[in-house]
Amino acid sequence: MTGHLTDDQLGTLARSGVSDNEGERTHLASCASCLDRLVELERLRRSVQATPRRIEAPLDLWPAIRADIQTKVEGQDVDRPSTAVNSFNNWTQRWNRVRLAGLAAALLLLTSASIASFVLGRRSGRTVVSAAANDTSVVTSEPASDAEPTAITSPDSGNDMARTASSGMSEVMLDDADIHAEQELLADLEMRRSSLRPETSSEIDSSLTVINEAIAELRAASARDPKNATLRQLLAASRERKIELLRQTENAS
Amino acid sequence: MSKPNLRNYGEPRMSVVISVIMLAFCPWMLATDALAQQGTGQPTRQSSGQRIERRLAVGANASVKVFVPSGSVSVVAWDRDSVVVTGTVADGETFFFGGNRRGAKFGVEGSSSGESGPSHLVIHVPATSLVSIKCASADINANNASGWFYTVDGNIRLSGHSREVEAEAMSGDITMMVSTPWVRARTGSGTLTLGGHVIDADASSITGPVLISAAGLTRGKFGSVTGNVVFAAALGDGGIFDFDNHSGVVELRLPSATAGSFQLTTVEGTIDDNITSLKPASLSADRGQTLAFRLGSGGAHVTVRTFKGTIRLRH
Amino acid sequence: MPSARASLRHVRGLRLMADSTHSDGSSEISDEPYGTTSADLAKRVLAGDIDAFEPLYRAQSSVVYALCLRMSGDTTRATELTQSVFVRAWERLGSFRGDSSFGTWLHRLAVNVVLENLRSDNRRSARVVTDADSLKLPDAAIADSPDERLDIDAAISRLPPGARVAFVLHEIEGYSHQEISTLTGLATGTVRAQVFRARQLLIKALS
Repeated sequence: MTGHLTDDQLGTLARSGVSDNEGERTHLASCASCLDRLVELERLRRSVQATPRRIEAPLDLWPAIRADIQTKVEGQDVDRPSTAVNSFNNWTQRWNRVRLAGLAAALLLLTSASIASFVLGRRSGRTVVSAAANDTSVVTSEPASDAEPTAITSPDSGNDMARTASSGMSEVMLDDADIHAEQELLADLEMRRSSLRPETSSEIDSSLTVINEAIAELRAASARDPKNATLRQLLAASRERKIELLRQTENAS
Repeated sequence: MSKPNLRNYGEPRMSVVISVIMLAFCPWMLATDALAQQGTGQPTRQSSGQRIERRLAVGANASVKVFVPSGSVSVVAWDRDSVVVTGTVADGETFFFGGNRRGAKFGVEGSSSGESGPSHLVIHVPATSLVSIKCASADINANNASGWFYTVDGNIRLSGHSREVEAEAMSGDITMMVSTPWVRARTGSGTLTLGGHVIDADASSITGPVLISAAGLTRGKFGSVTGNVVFAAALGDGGIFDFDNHSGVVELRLPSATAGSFQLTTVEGTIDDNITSLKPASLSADRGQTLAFRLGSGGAHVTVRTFKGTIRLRH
Repeated sequence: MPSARASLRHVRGLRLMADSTHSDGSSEISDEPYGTTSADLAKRVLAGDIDAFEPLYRAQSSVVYALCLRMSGDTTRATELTQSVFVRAWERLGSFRGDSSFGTWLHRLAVNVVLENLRSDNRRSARVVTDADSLKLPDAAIADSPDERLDIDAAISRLPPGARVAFVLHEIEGYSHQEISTLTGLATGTVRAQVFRARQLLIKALS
């Protein structure tokens, strides 16, 4: 006596409608249980096929998508999940709060940043354009590897090359949220300090010292070269690493 | 068949039987509380200094939370819908165990003095469960398990096939030879090693080295503050890879057939390139370098940024 | 990743003149002025024209949203996921070769993005939630939908997460058990079990 058909077999039959397997056909002809199951699966299949392939989203997402892309184009990578962002439950909620705060301050910052870039650009005697011009030296070298590397000559091809002062506005917006998170976490760490093992406390302090020194160096460099997007990105990465470390310490006590 | 003659054989034997039953029942009486509550969701307390064994039937996607301050935790995923814990609990420590079909939570409560003796637990969990292991100085070894693994200064060693892995240590080493779609790993001063087969990885340290050799990567984010980051793996086609470091080295050891676009920038460091003979451009008048190039066609997109760490390209 | 140069040229006048729908629900934008196939638009996006991405979004957004909604079972989450999918698609546009339809390429990417985010959700809830019922299902994603025909979608949204994902990928999106196993990291046997479980629950819910 043969066993019942498996769910896989019945599922395939429900999709194809016919069996090439004589054993299956014979079994179905005599097994009410499998036949009932097949009927149920066929009905389920028909319901699934009737569902629409397209469902319109409740709102038009293009403006938000475009804004995210624009931000990435300007070199500010905010779409990076992190435990720090998790402290605000959801990175999208965090970004929405940051954007609202940024819009409120947009006019004032744009004005002051534009003035600052004009003044600093003139003072340093170096502009974004000349940094791109330096890139042309890469073109003249002859590649020697088998893969024949080709230099990317477009001055805008790298995210780090041409930047305007207005892109610094995005980092200011992020700083507010990061500063708040950092302060909360530091305060929380001090409250829990007595419950930490001495070696753990020492390890945390050691790591914080390393990160703080790095952040201080980056800030000093940024002050000398405020238009340098790489510096801003490295600073953001170090800040994020610090917040992650502080979040890790929550589990250490 | 006649009945056995109890008067001739049973009376003396019956007394022996009763004595045996009483003797056998004593330890059961002592452990009644624990046994009666086993698997019913009520937490149990086990006095220290004994071997422990607990079992709990759980659902396939159960959540398993474990806390062991010191010693070791070994996690093995198996093809059964149950959690089994065996091992030894240190003197002076209390073992707790509780749960239901949705999940289990157990471990060793830390002593009030803050210093815990080593406990050693071996945990079998359903392969489809998600574990959360939290330790202070205990080492964690896990095979085929998925979830979050945390220790302050113990070491973490993960292997096998997982759905996802998240590992964090402050000063301990993290060694992962795993096959998983997704990995996130953080260590402070320990060494972070990632091998096996991973699709999406996010790994960084504060001062410890980060060594990446996993195959199958199409998305990678690797960094450190002062530790060296060494990437010796293939770049998946269409992948996106970001490396950042403050003062540590970022070294890319790439297969000779690598294709992709590369954007390398160091604000105050140098680029040491043995793959191409392109000359890096100076970033500013007296310091820093940048190099952007493409190898072959298609491939991955690679971005490397350091403040003063050397960026090294090797085949 | 597309070039950093962002053109301010507006292409909002560009609208779908004809929408030829493939059997998989994807569309090719055709009969457009200036020969704007998906591949053409992709090239323009890669050259820095962000607004050239909008027609690609418009053609595929409802397909992607449907996938996100069915796999997450929640309208708010589905909206977030749809946004994430398209931003990721923009990031990865360089890997779209044009040898498959844009819809097919996007669909595969969408599945990966949704699975990544669902994993992330599971991690958050596993660490934060201790006593909550992990099998407590979200309210029906489309309980407020004006379309009463969508009983099956409501029932799918009520499935346990693992079963829902496996069922949607297998029964609606057409992935094999092996493909789902590769995507999710689950054993093939587990995927089969999840599909079976989903079928059982749906048959019961619909009967």
